[in-house]
Amino acid sequence: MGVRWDAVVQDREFWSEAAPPSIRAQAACVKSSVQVWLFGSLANGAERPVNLEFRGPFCVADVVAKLGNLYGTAFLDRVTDSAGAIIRNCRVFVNGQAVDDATTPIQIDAPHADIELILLTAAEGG
Amino acid sequence: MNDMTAATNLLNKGDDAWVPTSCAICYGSCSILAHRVDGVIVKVEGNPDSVVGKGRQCGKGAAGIMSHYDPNRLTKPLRRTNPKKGMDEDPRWKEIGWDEALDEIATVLKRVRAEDPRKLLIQRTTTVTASRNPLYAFGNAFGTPNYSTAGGGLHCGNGAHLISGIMHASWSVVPDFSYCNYAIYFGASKGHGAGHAAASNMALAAEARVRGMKMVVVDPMCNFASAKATEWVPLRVGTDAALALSMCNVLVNELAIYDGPYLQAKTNAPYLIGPDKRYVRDTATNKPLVWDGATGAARPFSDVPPADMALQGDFEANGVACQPAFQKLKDHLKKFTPEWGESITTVPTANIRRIAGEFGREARIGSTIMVQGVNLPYRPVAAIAFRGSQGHMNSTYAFYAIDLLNELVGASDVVGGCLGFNPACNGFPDTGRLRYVPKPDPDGLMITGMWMTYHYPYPIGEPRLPKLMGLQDLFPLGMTSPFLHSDDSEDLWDRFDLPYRPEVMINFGANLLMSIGNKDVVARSLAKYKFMVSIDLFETETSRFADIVLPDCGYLQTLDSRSNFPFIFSLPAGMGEWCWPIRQPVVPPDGEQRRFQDILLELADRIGFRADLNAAFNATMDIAPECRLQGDRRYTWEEICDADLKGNFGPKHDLEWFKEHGVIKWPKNPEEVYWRPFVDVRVPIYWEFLVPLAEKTAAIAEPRGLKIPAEYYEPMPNHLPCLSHCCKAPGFDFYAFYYRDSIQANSFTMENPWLDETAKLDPYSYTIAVNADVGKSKGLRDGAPVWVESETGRKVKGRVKLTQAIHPEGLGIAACAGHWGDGMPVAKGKGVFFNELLELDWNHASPINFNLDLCAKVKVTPVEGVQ
Repeated sequence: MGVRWDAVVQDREFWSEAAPPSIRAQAACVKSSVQVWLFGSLANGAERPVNLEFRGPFCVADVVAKLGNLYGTAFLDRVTDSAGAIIRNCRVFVNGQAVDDATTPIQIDAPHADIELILLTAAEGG
Repeated sequence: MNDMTAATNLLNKGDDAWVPTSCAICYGSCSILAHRVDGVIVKVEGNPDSVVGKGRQCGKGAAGIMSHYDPNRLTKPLRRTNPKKGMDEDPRWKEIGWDEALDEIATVLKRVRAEDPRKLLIQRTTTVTASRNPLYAFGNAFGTPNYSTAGGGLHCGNGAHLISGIMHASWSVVPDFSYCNYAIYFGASKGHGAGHAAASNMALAAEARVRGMKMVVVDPMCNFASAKATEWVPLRVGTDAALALSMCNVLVNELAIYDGPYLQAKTNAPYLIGPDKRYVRDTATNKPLVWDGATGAARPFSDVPPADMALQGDFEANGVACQPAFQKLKDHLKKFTPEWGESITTVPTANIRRIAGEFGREARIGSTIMVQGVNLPYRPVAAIAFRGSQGHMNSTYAFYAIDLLNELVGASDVVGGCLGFNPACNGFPDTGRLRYVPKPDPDGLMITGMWMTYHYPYPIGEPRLPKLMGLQDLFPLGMTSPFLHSDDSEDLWDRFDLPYRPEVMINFGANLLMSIGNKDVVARSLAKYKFMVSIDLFETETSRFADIVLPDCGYLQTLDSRSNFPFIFSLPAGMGEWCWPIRQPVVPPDGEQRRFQDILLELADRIGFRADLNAAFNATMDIAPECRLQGDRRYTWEEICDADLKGNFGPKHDLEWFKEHGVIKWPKNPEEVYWRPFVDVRVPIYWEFLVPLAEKTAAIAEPRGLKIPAEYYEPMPNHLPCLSHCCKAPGFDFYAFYYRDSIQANSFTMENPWLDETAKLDPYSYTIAVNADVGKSKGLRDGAPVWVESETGRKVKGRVKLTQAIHPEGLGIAACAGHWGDGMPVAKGKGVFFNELLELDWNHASPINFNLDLCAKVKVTPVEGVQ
């Protein structure tokens, strides 16, 4: 009796995430091309794929910002919140891998990367 | 299209096979074995190899075979020839071919998708859990955000699921049956034949009672859980929050029983609250401040060891007077005296004190226990809640107040305590897939690791001018919305300048006319749809409003790769095994029945959005990168299920492997089940986020003439009366409510002849329960036909059952009964249709989470001239 809650557990490593892969430095002059595939309601009126180019390191947030330049604030309103962060139910996949943190740098080993964006159902009950 | 080769082969004469699959008579989706002889299913039993059901089966599951072979099942597509839609309109069905049906549907959908895809509403039943992903994927690919899940959410989930998510990172909560010694159920029936993990929990609850777990059931009616309880605590309908708050007050202010170290380390109890009811934040980091007792200064919560965080006292930080959230809560609770509690709930003061004391002492605060070699906090008490206490406008505060009992004593996701259903999973060992765990937001508060959709319960979404028919984007705590079908929906859409109106509905199996509220209100809404498709097993009251009805395959004819995922829904909580079952066809379709999944794939091809649908399946099911659906390739449903399974469990575990084995299992670790000590997250005992939410919601709603009641958005819970509590009209003496009958699942099973027979033998299933003493004093007698009339003049008729097993002010009606349509003849005219009494509008829905008020003050009068 009387043991502090936070003193009970000995092994706190069980849930530790694997170390994130090191971010490979990209020279500022390196040009990357990505194909962006917009699906569902985001595809409305947009070409598919959208071809974008980046110089130097970039992340999903940069991709969304470029799409905002292309398709305007109406697009950004649908995929970002008032603070500019990508909303949770806008799912982003880079080369098939789900990306939850929009600031994660995108590594490009192939000639180009495929990036998919789709808005998913927000609400559920039952 | 309709590739049912495997099922067709199941017609072989001379076969005798037990096929592992999954039930879908209710959303519990227990694992079953279907015994097929010469192509005919002769029996269904629980599958002992599966954790989901643990080899047990409820009466509904056993009777499922009769639903499957019901001669009233739909077998051909039907087209309406009567353009008029209404309660008394005959659709004048004409049988049509699949090509004609799908062509017409595709033409309409193609037009709507081009105009504005949001005009499509996807509606589904809660009963078939596995329908979620295919219908989500279709809606997401089509481009509509409008989606609804029948009445389930409105009747319980907007309170219970949301707050289970915020406080336990799960869809629902349950006692840790293997270790709990004292469980209090507030209007819940977990472990008594219904609900999430129904059959598994039956076994676990029974074993817990044999072991000696004391079970106290708070409920206006003594039925499925209370009848088996150690103690039944009858209370006035809709007052659960008042009882829970009184108990919290006894614990904190009378007995000083609370788990200080838990509150310091795992909740926002130490966070300093300023005069504006908001956190006092560090000016440099914006983190909430706590008072550091070691240094005598306010510091960001992340910089202070929990043991040094003050829980009580008056401080000054950033130039303002402030107190820890726990001090605020402690002071707030003082007004909820047991005497006050008795006046609201009718539960005697002495009982409130006794039960609170028993709960607090049995919590054994500060104790630990070894589980599989791991030393863990031990708090063998749990307070759980579900539909009964949640079926009211006050459901947010009711669940919040009830869960505070757990939080105060630290009995939250620890051994013996109140568990969420599997909030953390370390993944399938061979692939690492399916791993999820809660994580902290910048304020240190918990974000769930898994949810039923991608809009998590916390952080609370930012209110916006609505673009959704259901207005959930303005009211982000609302999940299922009443405003899809309410009488005032058009008025609300006008107020908020909704830029479109619904035109088309695809309904999968939901009987909206029965499952939401008053049928005339819902009927008016359905009649407005320009085009409605209903994919159904039977011609229901709702499908009679459809333009085209498509005959679905039943659960013994269909395939689902994930009949029980996510694990937060219906996999039993507590130690044991992770388990992933599938559903597979046991027999082929009858007549021209087709699986709804095939129908959706075919429609996508005809409309021309298969690439979007493939992408949507990839996203909604999070299919592994190496197995993702590619481009616009026309995958069959079998191929999609195969990709899902191989992606999660590796190439060896493909669909064929699962068809043979039925389930895959692997052991749970104590660090997964009792994850909370291992994960650095906190839960809110003080809901600071409601303060800005109220301001932002009001800023949008009130200039448009919709008043937001501030009392629903206070950061600490209160008892808010239901509308029925405010009714003072003479003669209206009873609080009418309905309760889940454990032998029925929603309105669907009323058609089952075995369950009908069972219901006829049950004194309560088809009757109106009234307290015997009160009934006799009013001249009522057993079996007498009566009218039950609400204050607004809504009426239902039924026969009285006098009983001591109901609160004197209560009037209990079982299940979702009272079918009136001809398409389900066994169900027709059986039982009482309670929802007829319910209003469906803004005034009768919670202004914070949309929960409908599922009680009505009623008067009871004998039916004249009938004995």
